[in-house]
Amino acid sequence: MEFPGNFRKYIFLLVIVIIFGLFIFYRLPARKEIYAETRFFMDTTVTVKVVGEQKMAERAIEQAFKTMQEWAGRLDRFNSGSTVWRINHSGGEGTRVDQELLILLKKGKDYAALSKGAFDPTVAPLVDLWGFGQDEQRVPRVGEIERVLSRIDYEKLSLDFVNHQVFLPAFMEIDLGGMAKGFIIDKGIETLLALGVESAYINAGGNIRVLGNKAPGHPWRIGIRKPREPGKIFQRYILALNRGSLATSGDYERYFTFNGVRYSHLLDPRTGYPAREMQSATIYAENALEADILSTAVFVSGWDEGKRLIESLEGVEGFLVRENEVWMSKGLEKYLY
Amino acid sequence: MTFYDKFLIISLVIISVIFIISPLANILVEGNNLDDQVIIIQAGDGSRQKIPLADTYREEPVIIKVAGPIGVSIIEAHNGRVRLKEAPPEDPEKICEKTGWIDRVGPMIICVPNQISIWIEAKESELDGVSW
Repeated sequence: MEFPGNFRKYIFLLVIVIIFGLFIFYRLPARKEIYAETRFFMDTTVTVKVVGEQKMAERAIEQAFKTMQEWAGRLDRFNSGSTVWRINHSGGEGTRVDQELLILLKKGKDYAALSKGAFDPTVAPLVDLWGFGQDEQRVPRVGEIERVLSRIDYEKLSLDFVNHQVFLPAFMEIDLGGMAKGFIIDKGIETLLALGVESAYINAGGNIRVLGNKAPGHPWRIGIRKPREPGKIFQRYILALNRGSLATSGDYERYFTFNGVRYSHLLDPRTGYPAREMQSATIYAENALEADILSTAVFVSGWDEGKRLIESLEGVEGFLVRENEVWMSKGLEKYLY
Repeated sequence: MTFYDKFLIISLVIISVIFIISPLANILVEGNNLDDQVIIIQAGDGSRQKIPLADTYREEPVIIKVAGPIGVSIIEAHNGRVRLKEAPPEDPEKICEKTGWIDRVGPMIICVPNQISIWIEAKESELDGVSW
């Protein structure tokens, strides 16, 4: 059998082109892959994944961790000498802080007002009374709770943007546990963006923010934990994200049981007791700070008020779980995988 | 048969080998999905132990002891899953013990007081992470 003259030449040319193409493909200097590293700080596991060429990705991951760990040190109220520690030990005098911390505290106050006090950055005395973050937890007496509640009021936290100072009454303390992780994740993402990273993922203790697709046309796939089945996720509610952040507050994270009752660390700063209406609240928002704060605020607000809060905010979606019932905001559907 | 015909046949054979045999070889070399999965146990200082999930399918469980700031944690891996079996007595809440078994990519066991994290990694997985 013999090919007709012209056809044979075209095939010959096509083969040359394919061989040349394969040669170029396999000689590509830098193939993009996912590089990941996990470190333990902020009392949890923090993972940074970057998609890119190896050298660039490893450098970006290192820089992101450096930024995040620096901020984690500054926001840790138990770290003597940290900015937050200085505010808590100022004895009512002004503490000089930088603009970024002022903005962070302003956000905390804004969300405290928005959630009608369900989230409150001055909740530290209550957290300490219950013993969360310490060796022993206990159910405090009613009188103890009443006394401590008088020391919690975000409105008494004053911010002076002109002189860069924070004023906190001597008997009060701030705890940024409900917002620090989100803020620090955002700082990590900012660092990656500044280094030219276009595709990344940061997970700090289950609070996640993603940047771009994992691969062209392939978003990051994120599951939501089932509150009463550790190690299991809601299979029908896997989210596919190429932007934004997810944060979950659940009563299974830190808790103790006394006389058969579960007491979680998600304390209502208005009543002094753990919020009980939900098992978990997952929030989607554009940035990790907002998702982090709102997951606590919504959980503490309760089932109905929490739903109202989610639906009142643009760009915010939610997934709430209580016994035998889940609720998903309408807008979250478009992110389902 | 002319030179062009011979060139054409040889080229097509080479291209076929590249496109068909190469992915097949990858599968043979890298193994199936189960062999791709690895249990990672990371201590607070960043040191890691890796156990192929396939190695946990045997009669006796694999027991790993990891030292941390408050004592020794005992980890058990068996039949494709892993758990923190015993936290040190000094661990006040023992949340990581209560987490129980994990058997897939996504969930993590995190022991805050002893700074130990355990998770399963895979080259290909359904999930990139879990919000919890």
